[in-house]
Amino acid sequence: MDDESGPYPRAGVSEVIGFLEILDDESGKIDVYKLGKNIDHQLEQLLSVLETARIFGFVEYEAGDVFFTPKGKHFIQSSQEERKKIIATTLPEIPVFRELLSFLTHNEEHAVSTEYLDQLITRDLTAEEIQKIKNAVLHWGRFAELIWVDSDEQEIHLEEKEEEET
Amino acid sequence: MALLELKEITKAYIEKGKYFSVIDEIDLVVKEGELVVIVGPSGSGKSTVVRIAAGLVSPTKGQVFYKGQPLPGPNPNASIVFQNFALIPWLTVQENIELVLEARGIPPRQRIRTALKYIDLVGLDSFEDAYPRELSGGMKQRVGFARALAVEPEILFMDEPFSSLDVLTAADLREEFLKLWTSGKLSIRSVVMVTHNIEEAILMSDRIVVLSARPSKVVGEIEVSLPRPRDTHSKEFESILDHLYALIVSSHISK
Repeated sequence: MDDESGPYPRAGVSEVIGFLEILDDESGKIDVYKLGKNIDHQLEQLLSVLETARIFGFVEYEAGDVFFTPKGKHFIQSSQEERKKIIATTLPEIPVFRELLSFLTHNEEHAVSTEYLDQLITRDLTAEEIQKIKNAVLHWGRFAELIWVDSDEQEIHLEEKEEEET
Repeated sequence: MALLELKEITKAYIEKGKYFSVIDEIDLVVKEGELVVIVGPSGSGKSTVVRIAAGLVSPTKGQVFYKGQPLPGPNPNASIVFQNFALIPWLTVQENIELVLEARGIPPRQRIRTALKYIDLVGLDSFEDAYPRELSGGMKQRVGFARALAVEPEILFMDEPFSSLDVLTAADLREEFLKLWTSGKLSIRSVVMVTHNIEEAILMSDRIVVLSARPSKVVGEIEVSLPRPRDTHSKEFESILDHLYALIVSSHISK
């Protein structure tokens, strides 16, 4: 079994949605080089966005083309509220989120220091890469309203909609 | 003939007790008269490849050959243009250039002559006495070019030389460099440039070497034989763009 917790999302919410919007404008399929042109050949951004959209199951890549999966097509045609729900059901399928959510659920405080994420990101990555992944993880988790982040305390909390903590 | 050859170059280092492999058995041959561009995503160890090729950093494994001979240390026939210009702020334009000439043991009178010649060549005449802070980014990089060219190297390395500049200034400098390179006015016999800008790679290169993300390997090479100046809107250009993107994205996605 693979003991790595990857693959990791690296791109943020707006970037990925922006990319899916471009794809939608192109009727759901685009040459990857045309996509590159569209975003001024920002290779780094292109790769992280493609990778993230693929991890979420929104797009597939084959022989120079990027195209929607049915899930991706459905996502981009959904309202903001529905998109949040789709992300909320997608995130627990991604190892790094699954572990984070599981820890938060089982932990009595339902909270953990953001440093905990460093332990979940096990591949040999540079500090800069780890920071990028952490930012993306927190960003998507908040977007899906699964977690909230106390920036002052540098703590991640489980979002509890129904029951207030006493 | 191969001017420069990298054989099975591997570079690894240890950070916070973790072992990082940056480059994994890279082979690279640079022929005389060639402008080779290395592309790859950031963190793909492109800059490290250049530093190893110039003899500034020693590889963990593998060997660099220059004109068929193993390179024991910094290559005296090479110079580098850096992304962030690397100018000394308390020296004038001319002094910045004279400094590298002095370091190479060139006598004072000749230093001045050579410095002025290259300041002129890059279009900075009348800015000899300016300090870096008085210059725009584009002008700073012109000094960077003048300094690298003034030592009259055989091989020029350029590490993202246009990445710190705005789009228009970058396009201008790129064109000027290509004019100089193709004019035969320079001492340089080969150029190795690193960039993450794909369009720039096709605009400039005779050959593109594509690196994967870290630990980087060579995932493919593309010959670019389009006549210069190149038109980014031409069909041939688009077809190379298509091919290059497919190489990069496929290697990234399959990881």
